[in-house]
Amino acid sequence: MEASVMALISAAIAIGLGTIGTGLGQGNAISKAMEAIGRNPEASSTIRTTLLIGLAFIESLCIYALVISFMIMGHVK
Amino acid sequence: MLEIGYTTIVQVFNFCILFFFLNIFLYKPLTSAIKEREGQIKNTLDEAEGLNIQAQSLKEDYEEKLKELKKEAQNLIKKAAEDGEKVKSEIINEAKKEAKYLTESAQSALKLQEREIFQKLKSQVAVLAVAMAEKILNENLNLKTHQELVENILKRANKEC
Amino acid sequence: MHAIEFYTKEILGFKLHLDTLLYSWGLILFLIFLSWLASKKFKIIPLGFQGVFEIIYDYLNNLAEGMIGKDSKEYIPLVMTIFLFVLVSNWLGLIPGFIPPTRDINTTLALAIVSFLSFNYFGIKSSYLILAHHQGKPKGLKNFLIFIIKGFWKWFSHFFQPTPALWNSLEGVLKYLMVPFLCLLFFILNIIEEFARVISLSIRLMGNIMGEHLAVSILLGLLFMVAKLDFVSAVTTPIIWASSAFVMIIGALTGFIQALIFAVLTLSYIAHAVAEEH
Repeated sequence: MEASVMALISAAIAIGLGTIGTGLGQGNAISKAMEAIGRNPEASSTIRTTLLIGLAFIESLCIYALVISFMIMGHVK
Repeated sequence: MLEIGYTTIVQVFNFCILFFFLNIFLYKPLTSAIKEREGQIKNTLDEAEGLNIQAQSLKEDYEEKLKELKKEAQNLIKKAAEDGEKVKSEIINEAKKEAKYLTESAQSALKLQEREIFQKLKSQVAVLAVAMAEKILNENLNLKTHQELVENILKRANKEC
Repeated sequence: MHAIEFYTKEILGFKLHLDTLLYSWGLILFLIFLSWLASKKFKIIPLGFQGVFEIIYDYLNNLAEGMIGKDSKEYIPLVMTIFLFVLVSNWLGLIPGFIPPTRDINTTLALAIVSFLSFNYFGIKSSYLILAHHQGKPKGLKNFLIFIIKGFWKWFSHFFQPTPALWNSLEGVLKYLMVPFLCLLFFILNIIEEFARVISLSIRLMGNIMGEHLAVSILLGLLFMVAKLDFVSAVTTPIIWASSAFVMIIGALTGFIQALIFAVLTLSYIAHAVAEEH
């Protein structure tokens, strides 16, 4: 297998694994937030803000994977 | 893709320029406007509180005054009723007195008139009687007996009256 | 594809990303013009632009008051400038054909460096202020030098932070053997943390905006590929339109949240640096 092909595959694996973790994390966060809102609907605005910021933090992990995969792709000539 | 270069330094410089200009154009007027508004709101609230207290005291004053006025009005009405009663009884008394006086005076006047009439009648009766007796006795008596007779009759008439 | 490639030109021997720079200059001019327009007729009753700016100011101020306390107003201008710059830059990328300057690592790195410098500056300043509050202003050159060194040490000692707590919990000879090792370890960890802050701030923002911009430009590029008069293009064109609109809506949300996160993280780093000295 050529190095460039391996680089392409590794870039795909990087972003794929990164999205799996991020997706699990975000799903967990959203489900917990929904539970919290269901239990205490008065605090929904606070929970929503915190949830959005937390989601963005989790998403940044996925973004790191994306950046890494782009960096790997950049080496494919 | 991740090409870090001199652009970073230029961007830091750009950001500093933006910060400088926004400080002049945005934050200073904004903070001063917010401060001004806070001061104004505070002033207005204080004023409103003062006015509220004033209004409260005024209201209490007015209520007291109103109570006093009500009392006064009731007193006045009572007084007026009493006065009316008094006047009424006075008027009635006066009217009664007057009526009594009027009836008395009318009665006395009547009596007086009666007596006058009676006396006139007496004198006339006497004259008539003398005339009649003269006419009758002209033929029978002389003057002397005539006089005695008349006097007797008169005495009798006086007794009878 | 301009999402991951830059129009690079050499000016006076410096390689510069001209597209990023031009767009950020335009953005800066726009922001300055907008704020000038808003501040020209500032009134007691906030209407129009003034209201928008005041809402942002109040929101950030409330956040800062929760984190820092009473003297939070000092840090708002910097944080709000970062927020406005990042927000307008992110939303600029939603207009087809426009380039968001935050898609370039140089811009985000510059912002992160500004954030880094500011929270270190505020940390040093607050440590000096606290020192001056405790012992009064120094008189004479010698006292002044001692004051400067003391204040600097007050700030610098936070790089060894958990060491004193561990020092108290250790016992015996081990205490004295472990201390240099612990100091070195925590110093390295803290320095890494400081730089990790810069890197994570810059790469998070850059990756988000670049990814979103890339998705939009790929979808809009597909439109040109299917621009033919046949059945396939007739079916795919509305789908592509709908999906690019969806990505744009998500991008608007992402852009706002990323700007907010950049500002809030800067604020929390400042709060950490300021509160540590108490």
